[in-house]
Amino acid sequence: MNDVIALIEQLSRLAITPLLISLVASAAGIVLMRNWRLTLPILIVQYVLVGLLMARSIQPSLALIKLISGALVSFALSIAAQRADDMRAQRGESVAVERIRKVAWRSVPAQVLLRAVALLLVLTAAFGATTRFPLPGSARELHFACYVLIACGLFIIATTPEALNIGVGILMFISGVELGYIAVSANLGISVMIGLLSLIVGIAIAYLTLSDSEPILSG
Amino acid sequence: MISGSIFVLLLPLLAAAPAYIFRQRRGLEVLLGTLACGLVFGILLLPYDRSNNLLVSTLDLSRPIEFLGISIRIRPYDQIALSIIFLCAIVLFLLSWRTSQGWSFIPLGLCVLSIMSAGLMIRPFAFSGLLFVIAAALISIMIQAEHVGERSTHGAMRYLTLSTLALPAFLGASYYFNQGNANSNPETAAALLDNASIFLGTGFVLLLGAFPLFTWTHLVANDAPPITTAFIAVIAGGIASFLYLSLKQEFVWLRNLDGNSYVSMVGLIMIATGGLLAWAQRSFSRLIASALSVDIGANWLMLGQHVHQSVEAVALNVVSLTLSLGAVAIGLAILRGKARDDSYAALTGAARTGNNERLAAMAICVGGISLSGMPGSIGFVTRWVQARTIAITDVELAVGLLLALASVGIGFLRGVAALISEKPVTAATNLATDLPASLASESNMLNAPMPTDVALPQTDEAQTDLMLEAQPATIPTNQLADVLAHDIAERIAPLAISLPALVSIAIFYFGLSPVLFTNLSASLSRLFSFYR
Repeated sequence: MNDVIALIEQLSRLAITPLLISLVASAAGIVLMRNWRLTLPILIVQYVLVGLLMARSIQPSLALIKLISGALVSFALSIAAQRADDMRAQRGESVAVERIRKVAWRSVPAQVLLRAVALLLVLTAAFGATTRFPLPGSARELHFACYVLIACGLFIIATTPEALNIGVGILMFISGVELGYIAVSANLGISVMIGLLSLIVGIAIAYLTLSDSEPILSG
Repeated sequence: MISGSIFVLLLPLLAAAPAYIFRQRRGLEVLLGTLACGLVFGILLLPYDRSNNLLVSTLDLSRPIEFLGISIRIRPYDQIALSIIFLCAIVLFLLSWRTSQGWSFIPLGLCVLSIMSAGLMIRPFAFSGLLFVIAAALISIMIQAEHVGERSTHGAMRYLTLSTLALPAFLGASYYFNQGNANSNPETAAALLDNASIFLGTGFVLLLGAFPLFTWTHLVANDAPPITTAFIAVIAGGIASFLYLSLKQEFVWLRNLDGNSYVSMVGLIMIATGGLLAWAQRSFSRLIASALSVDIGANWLMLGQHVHQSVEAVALNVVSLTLSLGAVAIGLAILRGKARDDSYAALTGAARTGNNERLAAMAICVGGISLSGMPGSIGFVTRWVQARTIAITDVELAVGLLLALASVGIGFLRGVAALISEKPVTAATNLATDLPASLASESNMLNAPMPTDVALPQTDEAQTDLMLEAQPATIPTNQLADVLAHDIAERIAPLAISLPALVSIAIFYFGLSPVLFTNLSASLSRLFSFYR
């Protein structure tokens, strides 16, 4: 465990720009792609990046909580999503893996282009918010990351109907809020509680993902 | 010495595990839930200001639990607030006995009670926001427990999303509060605390769902089992309201929001939206959602007032909502369980189909009367206090509240009228279209009034049966008295069984509960001093 904490500490000392670029790329990836086989691995990467950014302000052992809870949540979500896909496949509906193998090239550009334009607006708004409404506290580099995660999370929540995608948006939003709070005031209790919160929200989203895929019984 | 808050937190959690194990045995599950809440209620009735000897140790209600800079403690006003909440939970758990609310209602309901009670007692209040979001995640599972359709996760997701949005507001308020306390310059400190009050107000608006557009009320009322909707409105809304009062008592800066025109505007818009929509609804779930909008608006206005009646009104509202929405919910649960739909069209004539349905319609009627604040019901007590309190500062707003309540009343009148009206008969018409032309003409003839002495056409047995179904039965005059006597006896027998129950419920609704809960509310309002 000590080696892992030491590794997190060393990684968190990397230059901030590559970390921020990677974080923006991960957020953009989740916004642009709505296929859980792609978004959930990206979400794990994003949790690692958020953990590294947090380790710049708080103890690396606390940042490890974020990594572990993020990995567990993503794992639970992937199990639920796989089970939901199995149920859809039994009904002969399209599932995630098929959509990767047989990409509908005619409809993809229109969908992705629309989301890309919206994403550009969202990122511009996040950048504007960082400069116009900077958060208090000294860790300025975290502010942009916080605004990007909150804005992209809200964008996903507002634009998708499926429980899994909304859930991913909520988890991104929570990560953004945590990053913002740590930037202004690091607190052990709050960090632990947000880790627990992410886990329970993740379980609830996994349950709702399964419910989302069930066939219509009435109404 | 044991802290009282340990019992409040642990008893529901400990009961949740066996309740989950026995979830297939509804009676046992309800008993466990009720017992756990009853025990907590009993503990909360112990004297606050002295130690109480239990079997093995001494219990002190005021003793805090402290760890990692967090303190969990029952304050004097929390004691009464929690008593009211656990009493209401008992009522709701009992109501769920005869209707299916999904596997999660009691096990997760107990967990939610424990977590939200912790949210009420915990300080710093940033943790309250975090605990409320954790509770919201569990509530979203409760909303989804009925599994009625593919689109039914919307209510759960909306509730979870809105509660999560409240999180940064609570954390922001906590940050500004700490900064304001640490600042030695009074002007800067006041400005920081003003920011804290705005953040906290926003957090509560989101938690209570106190904004008209994109709120959770309609989706949750549509997707969740009816008693679960009542549980969310009463327990989640009630504890959030009590937390607001508790924080207002502790922090002078939060009282800056009292009488604020923006705060009043939020309540006014909620009341207006609910009032405008309620009368025109065509399903009970939407009507309940509109009634909840009015209720949330009125409750929000009470939270922003600075008089002792407003505290009483908040407490009374939790209680009256339990009884009135609980009654509507149990009736609706019975009817929705059979029809799989709660639109007025689908439930037309439902009250005429059986004794259970008749009682369900009666419950909806009684609950609707109370929810719309009609005189003679417990809802009237609350609405009267609310209207009087609002009228102190704004008579027009009080009139607006009464009009919105009238709109809710009209909505329920329409719904109950649909329940008791006759279902339109279409069987004979369908028969005419389905049968061959020659037979259809005979069937059409049967729709016309027919003298009793006319013999039926000689057809084969099946056709005669079909015709007899479409024709009112004729009874010889000498047997009429016997048939009538038998019919009356059949109708009176179930009434004789249910009459004592109905009388007991009526005494509780209209006699005991208003007295009990009015006393509790008055005691609660005496413990707060921020309005003095």
